[in-house]
Amino acid sequence: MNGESLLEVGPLTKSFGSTAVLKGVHLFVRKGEFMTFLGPSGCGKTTTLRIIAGFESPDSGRVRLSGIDVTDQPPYERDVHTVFQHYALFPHLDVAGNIAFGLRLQKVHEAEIARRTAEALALVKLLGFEKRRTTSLSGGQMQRVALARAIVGRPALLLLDEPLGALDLKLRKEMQLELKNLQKRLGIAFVYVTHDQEEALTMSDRIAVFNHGRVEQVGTPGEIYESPKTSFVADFIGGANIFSARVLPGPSGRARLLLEDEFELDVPLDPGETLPDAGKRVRVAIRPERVKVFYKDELPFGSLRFDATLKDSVFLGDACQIYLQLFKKAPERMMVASAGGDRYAAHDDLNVPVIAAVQPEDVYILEPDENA
Amino acid sequence: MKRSRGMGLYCAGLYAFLYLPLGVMTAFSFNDAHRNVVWRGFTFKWYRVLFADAELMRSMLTSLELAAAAAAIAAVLGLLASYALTRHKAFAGRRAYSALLDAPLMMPEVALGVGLLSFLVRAGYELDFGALACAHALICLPYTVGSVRARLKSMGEEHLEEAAMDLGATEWTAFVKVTLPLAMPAVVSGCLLAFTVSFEDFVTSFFLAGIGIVTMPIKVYSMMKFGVTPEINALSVLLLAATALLLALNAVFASGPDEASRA
Repeated sequence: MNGESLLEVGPLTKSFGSTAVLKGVHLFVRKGEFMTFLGPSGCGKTTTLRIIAGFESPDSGRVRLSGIDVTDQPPYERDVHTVFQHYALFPHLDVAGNIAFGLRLQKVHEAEIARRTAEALALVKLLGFEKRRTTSLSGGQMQRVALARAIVGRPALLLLDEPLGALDLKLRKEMQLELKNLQKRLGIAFVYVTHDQEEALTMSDRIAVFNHGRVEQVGTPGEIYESPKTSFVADFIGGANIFSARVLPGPSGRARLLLEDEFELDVPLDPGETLPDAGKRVRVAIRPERVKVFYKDELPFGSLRFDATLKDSVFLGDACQIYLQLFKKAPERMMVASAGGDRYAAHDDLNVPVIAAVQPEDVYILEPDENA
Repeated sequence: MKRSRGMGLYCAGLYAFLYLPLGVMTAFSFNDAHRNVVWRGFTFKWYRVLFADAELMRSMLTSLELAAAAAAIAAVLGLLASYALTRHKAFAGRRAYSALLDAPLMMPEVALGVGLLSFLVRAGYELDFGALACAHALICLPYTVGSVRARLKSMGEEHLEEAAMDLGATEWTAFVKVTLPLAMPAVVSGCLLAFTVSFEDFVTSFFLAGIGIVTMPIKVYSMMKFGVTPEINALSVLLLAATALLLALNAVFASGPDEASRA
């Protein structure tokens, strides 16, 4: 086990009825780390969170907190607190009563409770709200009370289940920064569940990308974005053109690929990256914003060149998407390039020949392609 | 305009059909005459007669005690059953259990009365106040379960008990500190309904009342054998007023928790 590791789970399996929700989730969270579970709905991220909190028990696999196996402990014995998606504030208690709920159970002295409640309220910028009824608060304020209630007991680990999901966009952005700052200041490890990739990239120290009950990849936001390991990760975070390619024999440290059986590419491998044997197929991703479109032959040095036809262009305000037809054998498999809004091509310019350029290191080699 | 006037007349007719008998009854309870047909002047006499009737007053007290006992039993059982149905993972026969709790609502009371009577007699149990209270609790149970189960269900979706346990409460503490206070308005509302049901129940009481137990409806029934007296009118008016009060209270408690928990 990693010396710094606070939480270690896995390999977790869990089924509800005949539906396998978790199929071997394995991961760890370091002390003081902001870890995000990212994935679409139904991917198992919330179930994993509920298992860590103790609300569900796994069919197999263990949960270790600070090196101690807590799998069979009930929620109230775990040094873990949760911020619930819909806040779950006690409607029969006022703001201070909600925050002090856990402290009262621990029979903390009332003077100490008052001091720590005020401290927690100050942290979430709600001083003066002690006596307010929780039902009279706005969504953002309820969110802050839920947060204060969860951190006032100073748990080793805080679990947050899509806590900003119910807030409007502007408030979300504000709360994202505030949460991140709060986490740094407190030094408590956060496990943050979200389906919003932008939120995950903004806030996290590391991201675990969930899909179909498995963790597809764990890494820093930079690693996840720059070196996706699977087509799901490449497509879910940032979006990507996914192609199929045949591996050609080549020198070590580089990959020679035949993209969609038409374009031959020579791309460098990352250190430690391995490639299937020659003749096998792999999936390949190219991010739209890394595809440059030229009307003349003026390519940057060393870039891969694709002769293409400009088929369509979609205006998005500050950006536009350009649809390029590359392949003669598979004309429907277009490459999408994203460019500045000023590159938007009017209808007159459609169906003209263009050149698409991609730097070799921007071609990500993903998992073996088993469909081909 | 013509159409709406027709509708107005229809509604007036309907309300008259529903409430005119009650109005007449109320009026004649203040009529200074032994027979109901002629108005002879205003009086409180019949109310005085009513309260002076020791037997009737005793039956009234019996019914009140019975309703209180039945409502209390139904409330406790209803709370426990609702908790089991809404908080515990699926157990074998849960759906049947849930349906059976509602069954007394639809069950013919005559069948229930006969069944309980023959059961208690065969079991050698004396038909005392306790037996009658238990039988009443049975017919009251759907009302307390209905009210409490709905409240617990909506609370479950808010994950409030989970939040309490997350903060260090055992299941029992979470029940006492979160579930119970929040479910209390629904429990009270269910109790008020149960109380009304038990208080005015005739059939089950008629089958099961042993010697010496005379509930108010049974007493009124026996009084009716000698015709509808102004005294009975007065009693009915009082019951009507009491029921209206209970319904109003119930409306307060039934709407209370929803407003309080609105997020």
